[in-house]
Amino acid sequence: MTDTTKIEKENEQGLTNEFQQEIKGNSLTKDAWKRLKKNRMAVISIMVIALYAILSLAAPILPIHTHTKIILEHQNLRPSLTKTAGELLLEKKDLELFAFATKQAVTTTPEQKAALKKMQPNQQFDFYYDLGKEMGTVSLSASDQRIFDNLKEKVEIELLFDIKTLYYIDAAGDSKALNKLDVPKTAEALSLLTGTSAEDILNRTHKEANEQIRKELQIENENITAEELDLLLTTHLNAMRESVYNRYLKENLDGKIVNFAIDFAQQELDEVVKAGDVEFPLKTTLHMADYFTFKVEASKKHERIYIFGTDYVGRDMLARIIYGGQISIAIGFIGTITSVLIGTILGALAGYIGGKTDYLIMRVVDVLYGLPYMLMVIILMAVFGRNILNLFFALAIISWLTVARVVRGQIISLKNSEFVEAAQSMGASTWRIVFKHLVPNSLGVIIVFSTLRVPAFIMLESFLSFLGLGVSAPYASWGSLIGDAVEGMNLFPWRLLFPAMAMSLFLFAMNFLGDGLRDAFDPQSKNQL
Amino acid sequence: MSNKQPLLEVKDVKLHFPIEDGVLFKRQVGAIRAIDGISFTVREGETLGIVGESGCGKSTTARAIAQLHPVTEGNIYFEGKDLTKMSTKELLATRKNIQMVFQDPYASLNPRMTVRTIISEPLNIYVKRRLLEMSQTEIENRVEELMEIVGLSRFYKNRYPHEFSGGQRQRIGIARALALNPKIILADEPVSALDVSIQSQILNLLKDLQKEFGLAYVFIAHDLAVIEYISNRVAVMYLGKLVEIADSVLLYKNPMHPYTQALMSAAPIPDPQIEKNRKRIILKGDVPSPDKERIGCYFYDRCPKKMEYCKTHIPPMKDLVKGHQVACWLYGKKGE
Ligand SMILES: Nc1ncnc2c1ncn2[C@@H]1O[C@H](COP(=O)(O)OP(=O)(O)OP(=O)(O)O)[C@@H](O)[C@H]1O
Ligand SMILES: [Mg+2]
Repeated sequence: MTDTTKIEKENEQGLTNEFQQEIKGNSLTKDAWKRLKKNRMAVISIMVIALYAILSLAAPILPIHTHTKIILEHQNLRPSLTKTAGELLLEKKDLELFAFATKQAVTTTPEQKAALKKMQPNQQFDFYYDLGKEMGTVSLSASDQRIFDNLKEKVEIELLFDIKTLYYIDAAGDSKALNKLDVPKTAEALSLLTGTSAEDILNRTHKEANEQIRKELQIENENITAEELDLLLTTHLNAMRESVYNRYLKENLDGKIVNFAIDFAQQELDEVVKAGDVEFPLKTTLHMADYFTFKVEASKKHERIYIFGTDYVGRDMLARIIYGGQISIAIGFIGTITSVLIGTILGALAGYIGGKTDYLIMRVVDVLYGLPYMLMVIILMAVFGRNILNLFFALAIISWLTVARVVRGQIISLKNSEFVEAAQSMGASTWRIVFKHLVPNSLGVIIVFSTLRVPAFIMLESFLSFLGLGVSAPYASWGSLIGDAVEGMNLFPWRLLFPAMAMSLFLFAMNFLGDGLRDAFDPQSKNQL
Repeated sequence: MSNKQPLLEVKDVKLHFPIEDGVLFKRQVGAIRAIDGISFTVREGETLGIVGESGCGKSTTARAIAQLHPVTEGNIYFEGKDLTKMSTKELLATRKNIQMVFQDPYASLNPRMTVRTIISEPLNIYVKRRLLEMSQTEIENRVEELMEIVGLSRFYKNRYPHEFSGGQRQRIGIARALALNPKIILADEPVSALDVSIQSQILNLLKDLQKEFGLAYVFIAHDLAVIEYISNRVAVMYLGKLVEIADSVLLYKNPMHPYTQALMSAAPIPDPQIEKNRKRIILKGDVPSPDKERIGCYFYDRCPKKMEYCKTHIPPMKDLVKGHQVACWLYGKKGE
């Protein structure tokens, strides 16, 4: 294609038609693009999809609260554009306490009782709360008031620390970043903080690391006896490379040091904050016990705003949706691309060559088709282990079947056309006929099929996640988010609503784009240039 | 034409399409005898017309020559070399000289390709296989040249086939066939799908091209008038066999085979006087199915002049007059 464009450039000056219009060279793809640009819905869809893509790719640098920085107290907060998490927490507490107080204070009429029976717990709360406010006589008991005030104070003063860079200055006066220290050195550093010997610390860390590995093994092998687990642990540890084992140790030690640093910062900064007049986020450098220097960023813990609310462990729904989108979109596209590629190539060859090749390929397809789809994925996931790559792989290798059948049918209906015969009579190779003549003429079907495939993949992944076979926490996909949200649907509708909306919008855009592409790739479509 | 060796020689060619049965293990249960032993020659620069009823094997003959279907038996010589025995590479090199024009100008052009891509495709294929050396600029120029030759404006080269009329499309098909400078063009009913007024334009174009480039044609048609107009010699085909080959003038003046006579009498004559007085020969029955092996004359079932002898003896092609061959027992039985 580059060659032809070059010639077009060369010819450009000379080539004008009788109306002095320039004649530019074009190819099917270029024409298709031109036609696509005229289709308003398709353009909007492209923009929507691009937005999703940008959000997914830029997720690590977006100012969102990732799952590594969750605050456990912020569970199930409702979405709000203006209210901070702290305000919402207080609001929730107030509702809870006041409603409870009302319930204690009033006796309900039989009709009210009947109505209350039909209500969800949260509606009952609302009912009592409104009732209490209406009466105007209900007030919180002294102990309740204390609980509320405590929470209020907590919301106001609690800080969140982010330890940025931590340097260790050893006896010789060298300063080194914590993550650059080796294991013995780190233990030594920690011993300065705890007051125990480095040796003790190392022993302890070894024990803890073994315990952690044992736990991981137990999760991987669910039905295992204690003895078997011990045996497995020994072999596993023997087989484990030293660098891998050291990583366990290092993580453990680093975590402890950072915790010390956080405690230290808490003490140091508490006074400052209580004195008031500090601006958040507060950034300072602290020195701990002469050996450590670190930068810390303190922010108010309950000042976050969750515009999409939070889930049951306090994770920001917005971040969950964006990170979930990453995985869902990737599964949708990668699955579709691989399945369409494999399906088109095999289907086209089967259809065009026919005979034994066709017979062989199609029987393989039939056999695979006969096996239950879900079972195949489940078996593959079980055999190759549960991770996202294997999920892609499993989905791709079973989903080319339909594509292959559809393409084969198209090719068979086209292969006796005269233009194919013409190509044969010019000596065109099988490859050329299939991929230059037959496949482009089946593009409409292939494209529509692919764009339908993307949603199907996203749905399929959701289903697998729902069964617990897809992505697992802390990773999320739209499907797993929706699956998780179904449980508390009445109480926390936002947990279902937002992922569902994000997913639907994406699927809509895909469908419109698919329509647009099909029209664009058909020179005979009504969208003339 | 002075050359003694014919450009194309088809010798005792048979082409049978197997009829298969069985779901898992295919086995042949019979054959459609689309061509059942035909021989003819085409000399450089001449036009051989082939006429015959629908289904008699005309298209199959063209395809056999173009090597689109492997022949069951017989040989096809192009400039003395047997096409049926060539390696793929040799065949490709030779096939450059044998190009086709198709019947349906709508179906024979890929709807997803621009005219430029369609016409340059044969060039690109041969360049890619290193059988031709041309730069992209040369190919581009050649496409424009070809478009001018067949009477299309070069400004149309970025258009798609559906933006043209039937006649224009057929011109595109002809330009494509001319791209590699062939020596012979197999034209399978190139004007059947066109309007009468357009037909004559295309026929004249073909004639002009023949004069200009010294092309030979194998020209297939139903229409006897078209054949008479364009052909130097005419072959009449029936049920996969040739029944008569003659110089066009001789054949039209004096058809000798009963089938040819019937065919001629069925064609309308544009003179009401003659048309009113002439006698039509009406053939009985339909064309029999070509899936049986025959031991007698292929035309026996429908022949108005059949004899007992014809039932069990296949008539060979015989030279009666110079330039007039007939396969019929009426003109001398064996041994006579
Ligand atoms: N690919 C094929 N497979 C099986 N049979 C075929 C195939 N192509 C042609 N035939 C059969 O061979 C016979 C001759 O067909 P052919 O197309 O050569 O006829 P034709 O003379 O060109 O007819 P028309 O004038 O209608 O184009 C027909 O009986 C047809 O059914
Ligand atoms: Mg035909």
